[in-house]
Amino acid sequence: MTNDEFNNKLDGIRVRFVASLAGKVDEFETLMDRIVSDEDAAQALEELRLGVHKLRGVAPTLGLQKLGSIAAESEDSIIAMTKGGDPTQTAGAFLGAFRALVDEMRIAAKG
Amino acid sequence: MKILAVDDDEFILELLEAAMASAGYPDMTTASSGAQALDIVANSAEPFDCFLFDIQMPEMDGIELCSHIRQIETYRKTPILMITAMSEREYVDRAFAAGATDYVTKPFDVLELGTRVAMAERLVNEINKARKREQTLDVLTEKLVSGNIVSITDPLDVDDVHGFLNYPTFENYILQLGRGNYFSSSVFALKITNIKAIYDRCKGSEFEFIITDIADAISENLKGETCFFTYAGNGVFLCVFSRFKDLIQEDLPYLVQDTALQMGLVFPDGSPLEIKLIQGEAKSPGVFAKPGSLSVLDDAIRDVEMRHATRDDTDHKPQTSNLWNARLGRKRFAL
Repeated sequence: MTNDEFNNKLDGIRVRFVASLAGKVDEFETLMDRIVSDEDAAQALEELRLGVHKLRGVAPTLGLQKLGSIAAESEDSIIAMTKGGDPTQTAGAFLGAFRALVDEMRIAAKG
Repeated sequence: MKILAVDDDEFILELLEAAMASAGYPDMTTASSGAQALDIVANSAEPFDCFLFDIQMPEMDGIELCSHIRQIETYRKTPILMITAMSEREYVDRAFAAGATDYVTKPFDVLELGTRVAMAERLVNEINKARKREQTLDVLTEKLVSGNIVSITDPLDVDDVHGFLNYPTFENYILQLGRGNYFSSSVFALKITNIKAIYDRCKGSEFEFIITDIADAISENLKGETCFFTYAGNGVFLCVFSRFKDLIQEDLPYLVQDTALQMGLVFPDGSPLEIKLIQGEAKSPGVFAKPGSLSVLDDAIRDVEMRHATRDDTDHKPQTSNLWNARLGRKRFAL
């Protein structure tokens, strides 16, 4: 595979990844509804963490560094919350990081 | 080189496929879960030469998958690269303990990944060469009748000893500690001071068996510690602990000599084998160490060799008082 072929391939993956972000925002917000309404909250939180974790890995590899670092903060905030600590602080940090993540995903989705 | 990549993210799998093809490795199979990967491995007509595993996957994570793969005889030494967003030391340690040979953190650089897979390919070639050599009748004969088949300076691999990593994997672990800025690490060397006398009395594979026994004795004394070690050749074992260097005790030689004594190590002719060990000063990779540098290993080896050169061998017999001190010291530390 030549460099040009590789770059074309990478561009194609990036376009499809960005196109998938709007659907992911909906998915994350549905999970957040479950967490807030305490409907199987622990399971929903773990699903959210796994989804955010994927973003953390793939976004910066495709050149979306800011989205990657916000996803990293968001995942860390979920881990901090599950490890205990002052709930008002950890929950507050989690909500703040989640809002920032969803905002950045929407911005990235618009290209 | 036949590669199997496992990740539950379709974009990462596509990226890996493109990156590997671009690096000259187009023969890649993908799986989206640990279970699917094991199924592919079980049904593959040709064995895989290299594995790329994500860590965070639902149901079976990449570390558990790594352990399963290592239990398959064909894949006991096959390179396994963990490619993951998990940069915490806990994951790095667990991955290497489970049998990973290298660790790449996401986001990964495509060129860097190609280089790391090329290193894995060199390892595959070494393994294949060693296997062929083992199978050669000439070598089998040589093992039976002539001198050592390894050089005294060769790093050696040891099977089934807890905490032991082969030398290239140990280097990868040290490099990963540098990349992750895990400053609370210390490296030190243990030297068998009578290595030449031991080596000269061995032929064929006997020297390798003795090194394995000594590695076993070291491992016994490192139980419960977060540490890895390797055999660097020339009688030197390198150990890395996840502790600051000030917390490293210098009693390990006495404990290992004692364990070796209890194990009743003997030469192949049945005569007792006494090992004499010294420990070098613990070295820390340091906050300002150049990333990608292995100089801490050279420092640790240099230190123990200097101590060896300036000390009298008779000093290092496992004196009872030293052993008591060592054991009591350890007890105090554990409390």
